[in-house]
Parts: sequence; C-alpha cells; structure tokens
Amino acid sequence: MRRAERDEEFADFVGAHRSTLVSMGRLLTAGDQAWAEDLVQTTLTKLYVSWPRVRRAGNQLGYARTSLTHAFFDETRRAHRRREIAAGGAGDDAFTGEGDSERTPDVDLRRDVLTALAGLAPRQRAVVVMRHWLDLDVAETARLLDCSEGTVKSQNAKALAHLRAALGEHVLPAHPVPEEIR
Amino acid sequence: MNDLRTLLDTAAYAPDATTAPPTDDLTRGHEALRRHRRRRGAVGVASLAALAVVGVGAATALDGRATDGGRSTDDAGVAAAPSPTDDRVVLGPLSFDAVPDGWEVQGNRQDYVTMVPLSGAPDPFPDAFEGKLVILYEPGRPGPGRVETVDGRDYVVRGDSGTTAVVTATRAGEPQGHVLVQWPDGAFEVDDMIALLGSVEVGPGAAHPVIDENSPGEGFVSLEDLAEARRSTQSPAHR
Repeated sequence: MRRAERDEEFADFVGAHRSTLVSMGRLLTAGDQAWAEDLVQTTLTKLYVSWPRVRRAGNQLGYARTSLTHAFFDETRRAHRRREIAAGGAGDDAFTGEGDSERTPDVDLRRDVLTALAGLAPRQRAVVVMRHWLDLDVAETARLLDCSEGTVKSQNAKALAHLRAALGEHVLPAHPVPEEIR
Repeated sequence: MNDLRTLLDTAAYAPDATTAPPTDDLTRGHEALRRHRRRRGAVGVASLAALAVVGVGAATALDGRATDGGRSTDDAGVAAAPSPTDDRVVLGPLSFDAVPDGWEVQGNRQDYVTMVPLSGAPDPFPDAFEGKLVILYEPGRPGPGRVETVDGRDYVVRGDSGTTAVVTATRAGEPQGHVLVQWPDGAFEVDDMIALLGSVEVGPGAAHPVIDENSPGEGFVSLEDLAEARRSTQSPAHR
C-alpha cells in the first residue's frame, strides 16, 4: 500500500476515533489526562506501523482499543507509575481548569467517579471499562484481557461492589445493573 | 440515581482537555515506521535451533477478527503478517523482523532462508524453494516487474508459475545486489511481504556463501529425491 494512501486512511481514523480513545484512556487511568494522552500516542504509533495488516483485518478500532489496554497494563507494571497512582488517587489532571467557582454537579460527580475508579485494581478498572463503557460481553472482554470468562465475572463483581461502596447507592443502584445479568 | 454507563460517560468527559493534533500522530507514525524498518539487529551466525527468538507475546487479544492483535484474518488461507513487536530473527548474515505467524524456519544458508507452514512442509529439503516462503540475497540488479515505492525505496513485484516475489536493491553498506522475498501465490499479501522485505538486512557474509566443491553439498537435492519426498509427505487425501 502506498504511503499517501496509508497516511490518508490513518488520518481519517485518527480524526474519527482519537477523542474516544482518549476518553477510554482517561477512564483506565482514573482521570490522568497526561497519562491517557501518552497511552493514546503510543497506541496510534503502533497502529500506524501495523496499518496494512490491521486494515486488512478490518477492525482498526478493535486493534486500537486492545493496544491501548495493553499499553495501560504495561505502564501499571512500572513502579513509578504505581507510585503516582498510590499518591495521587484519581489523576490530578482530571479537574484542572475547573475551579470551585465554576463547579457544577457534573464536576463533582466526575471527581467522585474517578476517585472511585482510582480505588480499583488496574485489571478491575479495565473490566469495568470494557463491560460497562464499551459494552463488550464477557467473552470479548476475556479475550481482550487475555483471561478466563470466570475471571472477568469475578473481577466485575468485585469492582461493582467497590464502586457502590465508594459512590453510595443513591448514585449507583444496589442491585444488579442490567450489565451484570447479561 | 444513575446507571453505570452514564457515570462512566461523565467521568470520561474532559471539557477542556487538550489533545495532540492528528498531524503529530502522523509524524510519530512516520518516525516509528522508519525506525522499525531500519532497526539493525546484531548479525551473527545462528543455528536453526536459535530461531526460537520469535513470538514474544506482546501482542494482544483483540476482539472479533483482530482478536490476536491484528494478526488474524478472515481468510484461513492467508497467513498473518509479521508482528513489529517480535524480536528480530537473525540467521547467519540475514536478519529480518519476524517469522510470520503459522510459519517456521526450515533452513538457511548464508544467502537464503526458507520458511514453511507449521501445518506441514511441502518437502523436507531446506534448499528446495517451491511452496515456501524464501528470503534470498543475490548479486545483480532486481530485474523487471511492477515497481512499488514505499518510504522512498523501490520494490519490484513479479509473479510466475504459482509464485510471487518482491525484490529490492540492497542498501548502502550491504553487499551489492538485491534481496527478494518469494512465496506461494495467495499465502501472503504483497504489502506484508514488502514490509518483511523492508526489514531484511544483509550482512557481508551473504555475498560469499561457503561452497564445498568436492560434494554436492548438504543442501543438494536431486529432482528424483525431491519428487519422492513430496510423494511421501503428502497426506493420504492428496494421493
């Protein structure tokens, strides 16, 4: 495939999906905007290098999501990043630019949800993002995370229990959200 | 009360977040591709047993058709492309990015490498090329064919008798001549083989293959031997 063609297709993909990938990165990193941006840059760079075969497989977005998730896991294995999470809770960048005078209910809710996500182990957070934000089923989530379906279910249950405890039942209902019983 | 999806949407939203412009992504991609293609592995002598350098499982379980990091394809007859995350394969003076998934190295000499499907080699002779994926260095010019230019390098694509080949001139600093990748029609996509060929690096030893003039050589295969071997390796269904 010619370079101009690759560039054009890649640019189209980036234009269409970059913001979604950054949002996914933001959830995985519990609101760390800079880290999310790093993950997306890494992901898109890999995607460009592999573009011809990924394109042939016909699932560029699936590849990008998987690559992003793996980049996230790679990073969480590094001690310095773990320290940052432990010290900072939800990413400090999550609320920048929104001072107290400008706070809205959404800002508070965003902070609470990101703080709750920060309390999850990375794999649990990834399960929550896959199952409840990307709307992937258990089998797809297991495949993407390279684990068993049973692990996905147990991690999901633990993660939801934690989120309910952290957010309160008035924010997240106590009993099975529809996604849990699929 | 909220459902979880709504909560996550709220958390994912960053109204004033700034992200890098897409042109930066493209620039990073260009640089990575250039590094990827020019990456130089240590060139040394390696035995066949050393070829297990491939297959570090960095890549990925993808959903759907790209479940394994994009290597999968819908067509079971088309092998997946080499992964850029694999370690380089170094076999004598020749090195390249990776053995494609579903294939393995059958043999090599100074100036060529033969690879065969894991599902079964067409014959047991590493020096027979028919039905195999071959990387070969030869002196001389690339010859005729359709020219495709990728990253400023010309690749000549040609096919004959059930075989497709991509040929390119060796780089400055490598032995003068050309290097080619040859494969059975339909086994791979041309783009992927250009990427594989672009990753091939040719060390000085390729230009001076060791030849024992007193014997046909361990790689010598008579046509009779080859025919007999092919008959014996065919499955009963094909007989």
